[in-house]
Amino acid sequence: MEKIKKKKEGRVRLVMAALVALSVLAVTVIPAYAQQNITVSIGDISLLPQESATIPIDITKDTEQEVSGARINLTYDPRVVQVTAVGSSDFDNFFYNFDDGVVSITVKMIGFQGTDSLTTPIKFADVTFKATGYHPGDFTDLNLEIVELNTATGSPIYPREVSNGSVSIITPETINETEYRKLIPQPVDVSKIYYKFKVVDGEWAAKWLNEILYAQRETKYSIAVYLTKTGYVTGVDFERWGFPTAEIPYDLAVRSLDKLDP
Amino acid sequence: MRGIKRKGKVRKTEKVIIAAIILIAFVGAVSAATLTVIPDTAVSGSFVTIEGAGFEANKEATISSTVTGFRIPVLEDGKYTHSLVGFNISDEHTSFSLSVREVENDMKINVKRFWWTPYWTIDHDMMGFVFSYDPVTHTATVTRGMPTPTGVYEVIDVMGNAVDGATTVTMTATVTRKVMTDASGGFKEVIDTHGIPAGTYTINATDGVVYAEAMPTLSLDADVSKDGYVGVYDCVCIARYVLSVPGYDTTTLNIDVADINGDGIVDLRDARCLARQLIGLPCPP
Repeated sequence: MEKIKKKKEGRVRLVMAALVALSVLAVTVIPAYAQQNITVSIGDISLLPQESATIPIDITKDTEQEVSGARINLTYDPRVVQVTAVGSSDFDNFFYNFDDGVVSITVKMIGFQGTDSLTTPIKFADVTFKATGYHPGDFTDLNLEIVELNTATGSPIYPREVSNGSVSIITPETINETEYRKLIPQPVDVSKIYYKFKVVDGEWAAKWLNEILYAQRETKYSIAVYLTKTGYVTGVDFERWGFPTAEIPYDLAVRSLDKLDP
Repeated sequence: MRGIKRKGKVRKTEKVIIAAIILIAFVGAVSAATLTVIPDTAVSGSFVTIEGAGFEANKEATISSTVTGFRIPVLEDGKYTHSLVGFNISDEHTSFSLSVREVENDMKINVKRFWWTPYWTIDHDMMGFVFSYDPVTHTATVTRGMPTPTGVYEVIDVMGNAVDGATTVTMTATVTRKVMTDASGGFKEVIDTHGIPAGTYTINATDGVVYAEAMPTLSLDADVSKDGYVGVYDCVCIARYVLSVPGYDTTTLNIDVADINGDGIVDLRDARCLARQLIGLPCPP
């Protein structure tokens, strides 16, 4: 009995020692391994409605890594942002193409070196985003996918990882006529706006053939939009209590715009 | 004797009539269905759409794509090896076979599923792979039947020894996929050409009754680096060849497939043209 007990204790000690060794290995080896990753990254940005900003897609590694070429895809929600420019790559040769999906757009990008390879850190591309979303809380992930990432001699570089970014739309307290005009989806479908002699609270009404009016009874604000026959905006006027005002509350602007684009 | 002779004549006539009916039925069947491959010329690594029409509705059809005569150089030690890089099996209803001619009966396959997994060496019937050998034509064949585990295979190497004196061996590759036709008797399949050997393809489809073979050739050139994969490194290789970078010449590269824009000259425009094609852009005129 004593012998069996000692044997059991010995086994338990052995298992414990193995577990300790494994945990030490996990603590020391895994971080060292993770540091070897080559990373393709894009940052997080916040934009006001209609505002533009340029951010880079970078290829980085803790140690120097030669890269002869790369193929990378970037996917985003076009209801929130649009990509207006892609370029300024460190690669001698760089091309991009848009692939329109049902709920997302993918920018396919490829860059390569003619002669000498580049060494990390590398700027793969600068991407310019323009905010198209105007609702509070509008947000899109900027998802990266590495299709190819090659060494100087053409071998795929592993291990690799991506660090995705995002665009958040921030909304101001108030908005002026110039900024409001930029948010109006054009051409306005005037056939959907009915002529009404009296304005209706929180609805658009056609006052004249070339003028539509949105009014809010409670706050006494009104928005007049002047249009061409084909629905393009020629001017915007804000009023409160019937007097011109430079700005209106942003939430009122959002509600009126949502009624224009049902 | 007369009776027998007449009987024989009758049988002969019957046979002719039956043969004619079969022929008419076959020709009718062939003309009933169509198969379209879009685009008809693509670089390996791009996506190709195969559209079928005129088949029986809601029926299983088989699409078969075959490339013959793919040349693999024999190394100094008499061995041959070819890597299918990034071979994408998106549907388990896929089977494939690789036949290599002028080789010994020692073919083996090295399969690496993901970059972090080890190579599996398959040199006898196992894991769904079946080997056969024809000693008359010195042809070794390996077949993987359905269902095939799906995913993008990091690399599938085909290797072995060539017969004495051979400087090249030739490979025939066939990929077969089962699809269901829709209510109108059509189907649409998108094929990822990553890892598929370059060459001229014959693509046919049948539902057992109707047969179609259209746009029978599909060129998958542009593997300038000869690594079995067409990608950004082939652009790099073309550029380095044009710029006379040491080590990038006709001995290391397959410059025969580097004239991407087909203007008869290999220059930097071909490197850029290939890069554009890889992301779905046309070559500039």
